[in-house]
Amino acid sequence: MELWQQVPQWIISGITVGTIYGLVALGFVVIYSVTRVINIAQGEFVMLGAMLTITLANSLPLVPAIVLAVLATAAVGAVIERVALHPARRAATVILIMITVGIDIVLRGLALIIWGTQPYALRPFTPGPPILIGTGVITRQALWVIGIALVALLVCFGFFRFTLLGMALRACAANPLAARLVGIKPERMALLAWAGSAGLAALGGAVIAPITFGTSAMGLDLGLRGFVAAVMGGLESPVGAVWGGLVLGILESVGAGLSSGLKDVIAFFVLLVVLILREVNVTRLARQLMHRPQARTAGGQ
Amino acid sequence: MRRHQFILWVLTTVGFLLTPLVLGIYELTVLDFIMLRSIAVLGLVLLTGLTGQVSFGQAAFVALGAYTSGILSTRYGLSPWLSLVIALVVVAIAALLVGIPLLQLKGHYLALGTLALGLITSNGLVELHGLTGGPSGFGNIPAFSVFGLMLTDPPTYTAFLALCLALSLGLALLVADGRLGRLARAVRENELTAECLGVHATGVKLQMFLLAALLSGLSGVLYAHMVRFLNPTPFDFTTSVMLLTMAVVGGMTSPWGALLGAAVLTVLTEALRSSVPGTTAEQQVILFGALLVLLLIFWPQGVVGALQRIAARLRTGLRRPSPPIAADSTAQPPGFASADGGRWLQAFFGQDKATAQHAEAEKATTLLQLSKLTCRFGGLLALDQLDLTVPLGALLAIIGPNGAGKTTVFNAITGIVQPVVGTMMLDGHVLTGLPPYRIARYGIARTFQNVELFPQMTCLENVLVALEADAPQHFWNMVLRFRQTQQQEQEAQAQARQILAFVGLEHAQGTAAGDLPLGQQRALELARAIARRPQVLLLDEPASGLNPAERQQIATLIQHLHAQGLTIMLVEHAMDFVMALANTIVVLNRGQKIAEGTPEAIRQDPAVIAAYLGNPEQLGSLPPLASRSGGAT
Repeated sequence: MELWQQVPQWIISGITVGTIYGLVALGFVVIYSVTRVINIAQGEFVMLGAMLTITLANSLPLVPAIVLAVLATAAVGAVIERVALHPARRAATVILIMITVGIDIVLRGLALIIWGTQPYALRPFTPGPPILIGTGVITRQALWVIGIALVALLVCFGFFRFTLLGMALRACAANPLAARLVGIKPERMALLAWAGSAGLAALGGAVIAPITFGTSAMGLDLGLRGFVAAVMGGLESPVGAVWGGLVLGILESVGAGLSSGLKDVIAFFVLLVVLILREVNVTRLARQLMHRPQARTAGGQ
Repeated sequence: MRRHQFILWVLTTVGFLLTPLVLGIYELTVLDFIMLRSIAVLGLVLLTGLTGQVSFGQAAFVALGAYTSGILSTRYGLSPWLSLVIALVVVAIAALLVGIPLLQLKGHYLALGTLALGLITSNGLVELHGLTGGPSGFGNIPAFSVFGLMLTDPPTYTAFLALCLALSLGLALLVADGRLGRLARAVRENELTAECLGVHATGVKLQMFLLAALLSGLSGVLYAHMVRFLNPTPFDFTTSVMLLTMAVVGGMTSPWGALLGAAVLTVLTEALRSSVPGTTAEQQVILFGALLVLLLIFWPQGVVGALQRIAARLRTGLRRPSPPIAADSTAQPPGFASADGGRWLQAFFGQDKATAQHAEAEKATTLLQLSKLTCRFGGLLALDQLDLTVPLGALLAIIGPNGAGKTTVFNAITGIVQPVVGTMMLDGHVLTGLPPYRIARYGIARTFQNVELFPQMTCLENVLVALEADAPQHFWNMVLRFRQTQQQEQEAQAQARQILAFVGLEHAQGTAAGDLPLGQQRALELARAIARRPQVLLLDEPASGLNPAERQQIATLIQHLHAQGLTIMLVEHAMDFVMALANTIVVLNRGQKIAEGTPEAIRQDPAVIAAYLGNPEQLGSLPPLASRSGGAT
């Protein structure tokens, strides 16, 4: 098969994994905008979601297993906020970020003790052969991933836009002091942000588990990619984060198709490029381009 | 380096050098690891503790150092000494590649960037098995040799490590106590203000990041030629977190914390391993993580912090408690009142009578010129085609109703806000588009409406940062020209004390800036601006929030500075203050200049009266707000 014929296939798998990056990135953005903390442990919530779903699915039907796993992870997120971040909320941001690193280490270590290093499989949600689209194929599970992620995102945006609680969260992200003045408790919003982000990430973990398998070590890499996606979207824009996830997923998938060694480097490279582009102040550049000639004539007068 | 630090350093070095005579092989091995880790943690103390930047990828630099030196000396037969140098160069290049783009940014992108670097490096060590030996690694790495003596047996290597640690610790102490460390702390506490004082914040952060990477790399090289076998396991993310935990445990405020942290945690894990035989690597990892979280929440100052607190308590117990800083600043007559003040100031600005007269003759010369300056915040036009000429030696006040764009003018001049259109020229230099620190170095100094100090640093240090901002010292000079550096430091301190005395703060030089009452904080901010020896001094509401006596003092200070020929721009709401001080007044309203002239002319100007709510009374002797009413100046 020609190289270009594989491109649709790469894009399909890129979109599949990209939606998961998007979910993680959205969680990043929610926690960051409400509390200004970059949560390094975000990826571990994906891992928890995947591993809990796999474990629970041994004794429960799939849907309750997923629901329980998501709720349990959300609870873990809430407990972490209360126990580890709330007491240190007045510390410098650097300290808070280091705390999330400690949390990441603890969660991963616990998972390693509970589940070991071997990968666990989860059966696809619906059995059946993959579906052909042009020169590419798409597995039924990938459709589930994309579908569920889409629904989750729509529910999320609906929540932010139309519910009082969602608007309170947004208010708190925009201006904590003003939010406090109108009776919103930033502490409670931080708790909600952590629980919600953890739940969202766990859902991502549950739906991706049949494709990637679940391991106790899957979290850190996913978390980092989620962060890159969030940065691509501007770190404070939920919509941008989801788009960032999709673009990163596709870039990685195409890059890995071209050369398997590229996959890890791409995320880092994209991070650097995006950060540099963000730094290049577009308005400053435009002004300089526009006003060089004027400055010269002014000097000549 | 202060004297007691130096004595402690000598004692520590001698102590470590003597250990091979006393300890057994096992203890020496533990000690070797403590020293190797200390060297890497020293870098983190400089980077995180002093500069406020986190790296989650120090293990990557350790690995780069170890593998580069290991591969070069084993595969290509290079002398370990040569491979050490090449390894450090490789580490430096990697640090610059990561640091230069990431450190440009405000915020904590370095944390994530280094995390990514760490993950890529540990993947790379496994994937590039042709070079690194993959997961199983490679051995037979040659040892260091000195004049034919191989450094292989534990006592000799321990002594060698002790020397390396002594050098690293000495370097870290010099940096931390010296100029670079002070600039780094200023950047950590208030980056934008540091930039406005002429500190190249990115450069300072980059130097610290580079130092941290080099120390980590050195630790890696020393490890490679000690163990003489390399595999990827000791260089994963866990190691980066372990090093960070050690820095936190020891205390990030001082290089000594690195030694203490490495010692405490290494001994602790060894004790755990021997007393609880079943301890696995995973449990150790969890221990590090949990310890990191708990310490950051409950004990962020670490062992060093605790020791400092005990020492402080002992000291206050011995001496009589010193009286607290008087909140009533009227009790402290400012130093400028002395007859010598003016002469000292002349000397400081490097002006004798002749040049002062010269300046008088050239009064018509334009120093600062803003043309068609336009600033926009979203849909709001904060400044609209503002033209402003500031002659040399002027004392120009900008007044206007709230939201008129007064502070925006200052923010644009100092490079904090980028104008969409327009140019700014200072004495023939184009300022438009330059970053704040470059503008500051052209000779513009400012104070802020909401006082912006480095609150945890002493008043003396606050002024020293301003004095030394544009002469960042190379750390080579600091090491090689030790004497000269010490002398420069003393001269700078003497100068800083004089400036503090000029604003009436000589009694508070050792006090943390954040502990001063507001009036003295404003005075300190002014002192810091004076220390810049500016061509133009921008004062943003210097009298706001002050009591009448303090306002009088600030007004007198400003008059003294102006009398030296210093060009001053002033934004102020208090009309009595402005009318008494300024020789030119510019009135802004909604981003546009509506009037310019002498105080008398402005008082009569109908456009100005209309802008002030059409209330002629307000421009008289009355201040615009009842709450601002103060004594007459």
